[in-house]
Amino acid sequence: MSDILDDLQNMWDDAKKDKNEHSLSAKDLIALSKQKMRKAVWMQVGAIAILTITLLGISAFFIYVAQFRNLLSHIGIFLMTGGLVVRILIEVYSIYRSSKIDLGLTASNVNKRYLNFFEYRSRIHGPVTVGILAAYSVGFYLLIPGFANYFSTVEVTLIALSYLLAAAIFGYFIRKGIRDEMELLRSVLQLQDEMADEKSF
Amino acid sequence: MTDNTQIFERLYKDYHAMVHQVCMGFVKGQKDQAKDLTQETFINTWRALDNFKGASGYKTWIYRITVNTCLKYIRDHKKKDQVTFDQHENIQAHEEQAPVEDPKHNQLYMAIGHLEGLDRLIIMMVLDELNYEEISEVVGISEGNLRVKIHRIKKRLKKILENE
Repeated sequence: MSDILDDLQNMWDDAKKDKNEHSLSAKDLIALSKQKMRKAVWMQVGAIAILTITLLGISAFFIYVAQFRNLLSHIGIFLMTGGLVVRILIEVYSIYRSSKIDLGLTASNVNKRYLNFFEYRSRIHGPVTVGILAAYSVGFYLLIPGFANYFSTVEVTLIALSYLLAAAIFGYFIRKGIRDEMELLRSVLQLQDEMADEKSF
Repeated sequence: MTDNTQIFERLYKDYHAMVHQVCMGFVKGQKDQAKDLTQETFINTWRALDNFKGASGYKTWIYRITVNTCLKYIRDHKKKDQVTFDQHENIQAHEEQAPVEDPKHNQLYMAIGHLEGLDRLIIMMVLDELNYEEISEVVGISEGNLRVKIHRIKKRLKKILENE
């Protein structure tokens, strides 16, 4: 066995002698790193800004345009906007949490932290996401009677039906996102197994 | 110039070749991917610099970041490519047949490339002459387990090289 591995060792040593040019200087890399970090922060700020604008828009619509005054409509508005707020805050927190994983720790330690992170994500994808989607949908349908004051019966029916289509599309993308993340979780678990006790073999 | 900038410049100068070599082995000699991965490793190094407490040497610490960046890369790469299980299988099959870009070291990168991600990284540390204690400090598994693992990887490599 050692001859073959000695050959491999020689090949490795030989490959090490190859000159590889630095494509970027250390300063360029620092600048690139700072640029990437700024971009990540702006994405989070952007998400919060979009949420705020959406909330202001929805609130303005219900205060100045469609003045729903009954309790059911108010609950509906609260459920819809509340669901949106919770969802976006969860995403922002997730980005923050994953960025805090220190890659300078041992591979096993880092993998355990990723495992915790993806387990947290799987909990989010379960009852929390379903709950948010349900709250959003209930909120929307609570507003339907209010729409009847502004639109014809046909238009209200179309609005009610079009939500089903939107919910189906939204649901499809959520499901796809969940599947992708569960695949990542499986991959982290597999690595955890690889790092686990080898003595049992 | 801040202390961190000076330290980073020194680390980049001292360990660029080492990191690049590991990345080349990890991506089976694909030069562009190795370049990106090397870059990503040093970006992660810069970000983690404030967390470096000196509990291990710089070499071990850089190795940890390299290993973690490579493992993250394989995970993210899999996620992007993997639409369905069948497609993933096809991608894997295609990757295994893909010729390495560096014909001079074709045999080396092909042999290492046949191993699983973690095993690939461990054997490269062995080839880079890190001792068991150092490898254990990078990977975070006990020396005893590491010995068993390395023995199995070597057996696997022997089989791969004999079948070529």
